[in-house]
Amino acid sequence: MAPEKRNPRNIIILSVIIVICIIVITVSFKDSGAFSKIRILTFDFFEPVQEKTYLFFRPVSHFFLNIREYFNLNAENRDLMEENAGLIKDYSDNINLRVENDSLRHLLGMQLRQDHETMAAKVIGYFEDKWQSEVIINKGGSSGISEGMAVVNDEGLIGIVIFVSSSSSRVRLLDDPQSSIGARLLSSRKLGMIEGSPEKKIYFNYITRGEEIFKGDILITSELGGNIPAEILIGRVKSTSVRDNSAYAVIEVEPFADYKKLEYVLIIKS
Amino acid sequence: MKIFFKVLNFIILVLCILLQFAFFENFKLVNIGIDIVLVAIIGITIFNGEIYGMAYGFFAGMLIDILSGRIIGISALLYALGAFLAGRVSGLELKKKILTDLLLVLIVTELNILFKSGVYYLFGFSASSAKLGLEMLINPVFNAALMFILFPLLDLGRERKEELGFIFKKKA
Repeated sequence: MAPEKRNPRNIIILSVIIVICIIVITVSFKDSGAFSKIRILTFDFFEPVQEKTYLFFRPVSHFFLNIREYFNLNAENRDLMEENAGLIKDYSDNINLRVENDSLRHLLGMQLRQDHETMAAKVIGYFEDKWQSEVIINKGGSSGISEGMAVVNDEGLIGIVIFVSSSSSRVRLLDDPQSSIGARLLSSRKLGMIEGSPEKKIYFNYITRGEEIFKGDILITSELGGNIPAEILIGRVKSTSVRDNSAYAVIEVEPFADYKKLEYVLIIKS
Repeated sequence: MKIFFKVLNFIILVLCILLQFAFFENFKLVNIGIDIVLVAIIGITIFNGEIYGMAYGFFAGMLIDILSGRIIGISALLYALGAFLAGRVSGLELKKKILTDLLLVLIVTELNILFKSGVYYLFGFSASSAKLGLEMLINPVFNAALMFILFPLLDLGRERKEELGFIFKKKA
């Protein structure tokens, strides 16, 4: 152990650090853009190392995640078989409806839904604590990415771009307590908000407690979501309950995407 | 030679920050993980002294805040305070060095969690008390386990009087 004399020098240094931190905290809390240049420079500096380290350790972290998931495989398999049976039944109906829809749109002169312009990105970092839940991707401002763009994968919506440096970006995931996105129930078209929580659970909020919501109902993004295109899959209703003295139902949502296993994502640019 | 160990410790600290982002963020039990950076800062304080601990803690915290934090400066403040506390508690000379180190990691981790939650609460970020309780139970245990790997690394090359808390036998 290094011998350390108990002199006031240490207290003075600590006091200086505390004062600097308080000033920095105050400035960054009042104006989040105050340190954006330093943030962008640091992000760009660390991006190559960050990417290499993350990719190096990813097989190990996935190995541990897979062990945890192994114990849920039976239940998951049963659920998937049930779901598959339902989907097979719906498949032929959907083809007929699609043909009918296309011909009706053609008759009315309406355009078919436009495809979105997307860009693929690699996940190079993951950060989670009680107050935030984010991933870092390897595409930034130089690739035309800007704040507010929606990020998806083949399973559905992942989150929103909240910070952009020239070569990487930070994406706020749906389970982040600050996350709030307009959403709809696919079956009843009811509007609400998809919000994260400190427990890392996702809730579909602002649905009055009398409304009929069923477990398994699918949620999609609404057309009122700003930069986020409508009708992107989000997840399904996991459970519903009511809270005393609240006019709204508590609806927990299970997202389709597994945030801890993200490798590649798509950023919706248009 | 002393400066060499300080530079080596600094490199280990930067590697710990990268490791935290690349690996430990994914390796969590009920969303509670290991704070390898805090353990490294406690170790640096023990082996290099309070001043280096505070300076390295401030640097590491700033870097983490810039790379991931919502409010810049919170982690820097907490890690510097952690190093200061570690410096004070390390003055407790228990019978075995390992016990002092273990106690140090447990106390500083607990206080770090409490300070962090308090500061975030003041800035309007809520957190469930159940989760906080669970974090205060699990996180120190994880950090204490990591201490057994990280402290010998930080102590690498230095002359040691003890090994795992036991005094080396004097050579005849």
